[in-house]
Amino acid sequence: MSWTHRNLMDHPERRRGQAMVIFALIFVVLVGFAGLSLDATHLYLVQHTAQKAADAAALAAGKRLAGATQQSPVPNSNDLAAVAAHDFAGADGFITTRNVACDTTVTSGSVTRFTTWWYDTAGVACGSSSGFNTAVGIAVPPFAPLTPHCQTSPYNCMQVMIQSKVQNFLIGTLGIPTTNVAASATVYAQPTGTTYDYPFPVAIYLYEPAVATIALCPPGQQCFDRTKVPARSLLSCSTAGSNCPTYWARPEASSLIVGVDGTTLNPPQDVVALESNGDMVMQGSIGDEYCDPYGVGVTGCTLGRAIGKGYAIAPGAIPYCATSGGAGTRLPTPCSAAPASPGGTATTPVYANETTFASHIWTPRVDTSGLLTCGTLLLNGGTVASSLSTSTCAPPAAEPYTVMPGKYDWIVVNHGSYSFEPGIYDITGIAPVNSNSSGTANGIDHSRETSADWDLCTTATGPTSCGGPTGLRAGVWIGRGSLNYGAYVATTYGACGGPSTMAGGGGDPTIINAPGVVFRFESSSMGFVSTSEVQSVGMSSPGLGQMRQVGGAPLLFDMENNGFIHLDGSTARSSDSRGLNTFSGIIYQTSTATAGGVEVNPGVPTREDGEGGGTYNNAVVGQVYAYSFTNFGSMGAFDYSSGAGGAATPTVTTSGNQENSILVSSVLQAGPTGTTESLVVKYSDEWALDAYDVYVKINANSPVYFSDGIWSPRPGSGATLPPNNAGNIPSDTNPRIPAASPPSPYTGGIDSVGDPNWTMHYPVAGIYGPADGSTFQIEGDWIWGHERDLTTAVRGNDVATLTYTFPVPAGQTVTISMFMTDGDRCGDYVTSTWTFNNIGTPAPGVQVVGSVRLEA
Amino acid sequence: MSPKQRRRRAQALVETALILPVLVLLMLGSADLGRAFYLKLEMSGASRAGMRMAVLGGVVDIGNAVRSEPNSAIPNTASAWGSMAPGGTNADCTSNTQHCGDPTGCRPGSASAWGGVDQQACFAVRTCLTWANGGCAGYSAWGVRPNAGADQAVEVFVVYRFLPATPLIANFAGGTGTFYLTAQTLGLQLY
Repeated sequence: MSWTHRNLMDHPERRRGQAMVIFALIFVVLVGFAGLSLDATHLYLVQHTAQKAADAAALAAGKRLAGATQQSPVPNSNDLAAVAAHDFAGADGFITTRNVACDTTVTSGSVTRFTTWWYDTAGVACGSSSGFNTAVGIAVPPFAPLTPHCQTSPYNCMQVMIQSKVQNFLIGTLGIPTTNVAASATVYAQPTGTTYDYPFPVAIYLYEPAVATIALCPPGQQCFDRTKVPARSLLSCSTAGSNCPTYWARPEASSLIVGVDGTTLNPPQDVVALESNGDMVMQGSIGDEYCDPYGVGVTGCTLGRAIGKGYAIAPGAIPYCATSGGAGTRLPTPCSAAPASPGGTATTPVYANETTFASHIWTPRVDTSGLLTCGTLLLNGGTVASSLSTSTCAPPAAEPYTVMPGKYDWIVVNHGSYSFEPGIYDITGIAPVNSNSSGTANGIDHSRETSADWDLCTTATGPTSCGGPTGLRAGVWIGRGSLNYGAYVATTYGACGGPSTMAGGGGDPTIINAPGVVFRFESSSMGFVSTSEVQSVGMSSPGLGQMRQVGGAPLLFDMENNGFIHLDGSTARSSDSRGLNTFSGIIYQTSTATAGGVEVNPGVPTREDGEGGGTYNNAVVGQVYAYSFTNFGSMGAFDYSSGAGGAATPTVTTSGNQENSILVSSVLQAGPTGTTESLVVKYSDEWALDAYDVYVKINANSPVYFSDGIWSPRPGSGATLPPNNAGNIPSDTNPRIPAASPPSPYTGGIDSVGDPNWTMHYPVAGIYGPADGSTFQIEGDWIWGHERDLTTAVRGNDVATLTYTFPVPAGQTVTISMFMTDGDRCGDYVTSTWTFNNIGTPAPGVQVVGSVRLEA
Repeated sequence: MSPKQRRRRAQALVETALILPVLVLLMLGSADLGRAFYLKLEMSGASRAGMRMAVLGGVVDIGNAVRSEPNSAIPNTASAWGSMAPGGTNADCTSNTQHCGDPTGCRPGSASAWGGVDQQACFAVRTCLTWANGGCAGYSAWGVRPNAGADQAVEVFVVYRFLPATPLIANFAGGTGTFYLTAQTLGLQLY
């Protein structure tokens, strides 16, 4: 018996009122806990409300900032953008008095920052954290860390901050009467009319000089021996026995090099598609094409035809032609029918030298300061964090298969599905070759490479003379080996945006998705390789003006050495490879190079059999400035017709979970007829595209929906949309796989790999759409509605290609917006906007528009 | 058992009988209040998502943005959203000819706003013609969105019909025993 009990037993009368006492004690504790939970929830609610108000205020301020490049921060609290921020914070519940009392402009280094605070109480000391109930402040530019957009255009960004003093309910009685909550939002208003640093608009520009014999080749420099038949084994790119034409199109290549129409230059002029300082060997079996679309549009550029100004070579250099089949075994002969002097005409497949070779020197500015040092990265299908030599550059926990920008010694991908975050990848070293025969690879795993990789040239001594494939190295190697790999990890889904949401990846097949990236290879490194074993690779540079560290250029590769950039991808037409093998942006090798260059295998299946609205594949969309260029593989595709602006990932606005990576690449191309042009957009996500919501908008016209024309007659005001009364009808609540036989006015069905490929036609005014003959095609992994609602859906690496073809509109510029959503039902969408110069055909676009987006 | 002991036991019973309702009320009440806060938060999130969508254009699908946001709290079903559910009369605002949200502004008792017995939530959209610090100074009718280039604000209003579990609290809410938890967000049109 305890002391207490005995005591009570001795004095029973003490028990009287015992329950009351105990209850009183418990009550205090209960109230305390209840108060704690209620107050916490209430604080959370106020914080959320503050965030909401900050978002609204920042967006409103962004609208006032947009439209022009801001060269300085807003001057004071009476600026329209400041007023908008203040008013919308107030309209959404955080009311303050706007005055200039706390306006502060401070210059530190090259940055001038304006900050101010407004309070609901008079007489508060500026910057004070007490004495008020509500405070709203702005900062232009925002406080660090700045997003890439805000680094590029610091005065086009504004941060809105809200502080609020919350009266506590119950814990107030415990001596904590108030708690401060804070929220912040940053907006970016993209300026219009900005010009950026990008090279002269020639599609391919090559530096390697011509020499009469190999004996005249300068030491340490690769040259072409005119006495030898060009062969891969001789394309060794060293002095001894080298045989490297400055430009070489293999017999299988049938190169189609589409330049850019120069009519946007002032004064309008013709621009040659390719300029070569040295000998060119053109062996395409059905005729190479070097097409400047001047006057005819890109549709005039088709294989085997000569249109506009083709190429120009320097004096002393010789163009060699061998266009009949099997030309690879005989010595090419100079193109006899090509004009010897500028201004001549030609009748053969080679139509060139209409103009003189001109020297162009452009050097990209790449600022690598501030990049994290990441060591080495060897990916064998595991998480990125486990594959890094240091933990510095580990991705966020929810994105374990995402590679982060930084300074790397080297990067090797032997297996796995990975994304690269937008940013600069500065490569300083050379990746080692794997030396393990079992387990996982410890370097580049060449074991699966076959004869399909005969074209690899990635050492200073070439593939044969360097001892075959085992010697091949690079700064960044993306291939697929046969050694062990990590298991594929499916994406997990919790509450949308919640902590249990995790992006999947890894596994065996190599699938790379890299929007908005810049790879710089330092002089101590080598180049870039993507082998034909790679299942799918899509890389695009940042949009024009989007990255200050590269001068706003759409730069994809900057190789500061004599290495090779070798671009290839799977030729197997598996469903997952379609649509993604694209390299978009400027590919640059230092103008002081003495060897190396760019090798492209345009057989990479960027589109199945030309499906998707075009007639050729766009292996490379962009520009090459390099020492040499070799074109392997069947059919050719090098498209610079959209200019620098068409080669980049455009401005995107997203909602819900960050999903800007669902937009992989986009290009505006001319055709397929002389009066139309096409916007081709590629989509990639772990969910299939929700085609019900997709629309495209040309200039300020009404949006054109992919699914809008299905109803006849169109539903009236208040009618159910979409109707759920028949198969194949788009619906959010009735998700389904599109059928093999689409209803009118759709055409199409199922493509060769079993994916839906439908084309919407807009033929009737007022019912279906614009009635201008435009069409909207979506091919690939898409469904009606949210894939997440489709129990039979297989989620994974979903890709699709969207092509909107429309008549060339009137006006000096054309602005195109596209809206699309993924299938995860988390409210995720992308709105992307492009503006191109409009001359009837695509041109180097100054790709800007006054758009506003929340950055953070 | 002595009479004294019996008296004590009876006394404890009475004390407990007195205290228990208070305790139960306290527990139920705090559970209700917590639930109300949580749903209010979800409504706030939904109106924020709707606003962010609404400012982008005149025909963007505000309804989908609103309904997709409070994922864990309110299912995107016909019974939960009534005529604002996917496919419903007032659900989607993807053209100028359609109603955008409830035309009565989710008024309590309105048949269009609260048609179904099980209906939990309602949203409505309107244009703010002029605004000031502290709120909107002049509204359009419900269901009207700003015309392109008008430089007006758009309000997304979301309401949750909250049924308290605690009897006493429900009595405070009048005849229906229902509270309406509201959230609205005002944003400047960007199009």
